[in-house]
Amino acid sequence: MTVLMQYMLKKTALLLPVLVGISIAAFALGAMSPGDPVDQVLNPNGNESYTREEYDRMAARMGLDKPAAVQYGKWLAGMFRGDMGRSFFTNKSVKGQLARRIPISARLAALSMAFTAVLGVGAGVVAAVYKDRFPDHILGALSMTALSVPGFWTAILFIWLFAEKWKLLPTSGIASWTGYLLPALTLALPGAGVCARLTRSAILDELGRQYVTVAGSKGFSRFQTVVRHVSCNALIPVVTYLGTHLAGILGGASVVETIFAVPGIGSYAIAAVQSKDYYVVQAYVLFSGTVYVAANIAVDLFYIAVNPRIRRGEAGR
Amino acid sequence: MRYITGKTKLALLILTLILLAGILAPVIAPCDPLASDLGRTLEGPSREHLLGTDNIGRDLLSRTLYGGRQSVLVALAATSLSMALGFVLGLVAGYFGGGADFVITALSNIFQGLPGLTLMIAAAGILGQGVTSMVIAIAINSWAGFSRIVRGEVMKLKQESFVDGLKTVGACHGRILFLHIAPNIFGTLAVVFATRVAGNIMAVSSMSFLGLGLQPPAPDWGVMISDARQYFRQAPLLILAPGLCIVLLSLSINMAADGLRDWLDTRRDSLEIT
Repeated sequence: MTVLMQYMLKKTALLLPVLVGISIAAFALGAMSPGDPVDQVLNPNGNESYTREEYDRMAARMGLDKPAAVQYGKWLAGMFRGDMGRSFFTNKSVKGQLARRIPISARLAALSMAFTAVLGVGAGVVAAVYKDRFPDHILGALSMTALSVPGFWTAILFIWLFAEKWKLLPTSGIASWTGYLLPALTLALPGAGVCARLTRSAILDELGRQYVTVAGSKGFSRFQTVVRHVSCNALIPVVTYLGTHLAGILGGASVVETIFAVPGIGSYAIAAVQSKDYYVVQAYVLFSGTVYVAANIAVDLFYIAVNPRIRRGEAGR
Repeated sequence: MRYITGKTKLALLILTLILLAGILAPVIAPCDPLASDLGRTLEGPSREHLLGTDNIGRDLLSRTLYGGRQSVLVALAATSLSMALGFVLGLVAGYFGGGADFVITALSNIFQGLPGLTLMIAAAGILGQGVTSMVIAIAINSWAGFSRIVRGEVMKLKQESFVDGLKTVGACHGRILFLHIAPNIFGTLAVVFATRVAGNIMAVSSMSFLGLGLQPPAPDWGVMISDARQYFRQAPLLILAPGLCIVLLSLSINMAADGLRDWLDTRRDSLEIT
């Protein structure tokens, strides 16, 4: 157990500077963006005038007259307290918006990840079993195409075909759970392409190993060997990919969320970037960076679960 | 085994055709891509307009031919910039190790943890609209992938006996690194470059589609799809033609990269497209 604890501590210690770096990047992104927040507050409609003293007083009240490092410290402390500021434009609290939007993006990410895993792993297994035969060629071409199609185009085609022409699913919004299906599928396709290719090559790598020959000579069928022995080893790169993919969707489904009018954090971030609403951008970047780090920790935990060598402290990774 | 499959040849043929169409667009395009004719809007294919016209009567075929020129150049420039940055940092991190490696690896982890496309959009927003800011925004976002792969390759190569031999005859670090180790990485780098170019072409189109990249009335595939969102129900070619061009271009680049990888017979796992 101590070996395990040491391993996790080391991993977490390595990720801590990453998290600090992401928070600095998030803060800098907001601080460097064009537009003057003091002006935004004093002159929200663009037609009010104010004096130099009024400006300085407001800047002092907002803490913007302090050096950047002090501002960063105050901002980070605010994030820990859950005080993320208010949107310049809607005046809604950023925290409240995130609290409402994160579950929506999380549902979308979970569904999309399920599609990715089922389509990707399924296609990869079939392609590996039928290596160099017809199904392998077809699935290879399909997965290559899936990762070469831009999401915004798939989204428009899906809305047009499934929602407008055949009227099977809602065009946009998430009034019912069916509203999640098209955006989730759109997000899943490129990932499924990558996942299928990873699964196929991982299984083929493993099938060349000696233990597969041993299992065969002990009388296991090919199918039994793949399920009982190969799958555990072959899944490692696939799960690593799925972990970072989930984090990517949770933090970066911005284009697809915008097109399907899903009120998640991605569409919130795009709207904030377009209107230069920088507290929102800062909170968003910090959130998605944190999700990325958390996903990496989760993937590490998975390594421990499937790799007895780490549990016994034999392997470096 | 070194061979070029039929699939790769087909990919290279399609890629060449698309690139030629873009390069020769001023010569072969039947109309001016910006000339509108409000009397002939949203027409179907005809003898004068082989693919029909858009909502303000511009020739779709001409716009489609021109449509890749800017985004491909932006993607090439951005990917070259990020490759140069990632290549040098990866070489230094992998070869010298220690403190330099720690700092560079930490930086690349930070940049990989930032939210991809949204970060590009945010960076482009800060830098202001324009081609230069798009190039910088994409380069900031994709150098870490290069540096990571180069670092891994260098760490493998510096164990090789030819490096020990060079040190014995008194070669300096710069000489070993740039004249002897670097050339061994070029093949791998070419494969990664190609897949990144494909990804970045899609990123540029996405940004242009959202109105944060190339701006209308530029004849660009992303801009064209965005413009056509209200009108494609009457004239589906308005989104099909530019969309298929993006798909065919990135598909042919990805397939060519795949062929190149097999041809170089490099290890698969370090190069899987992600």
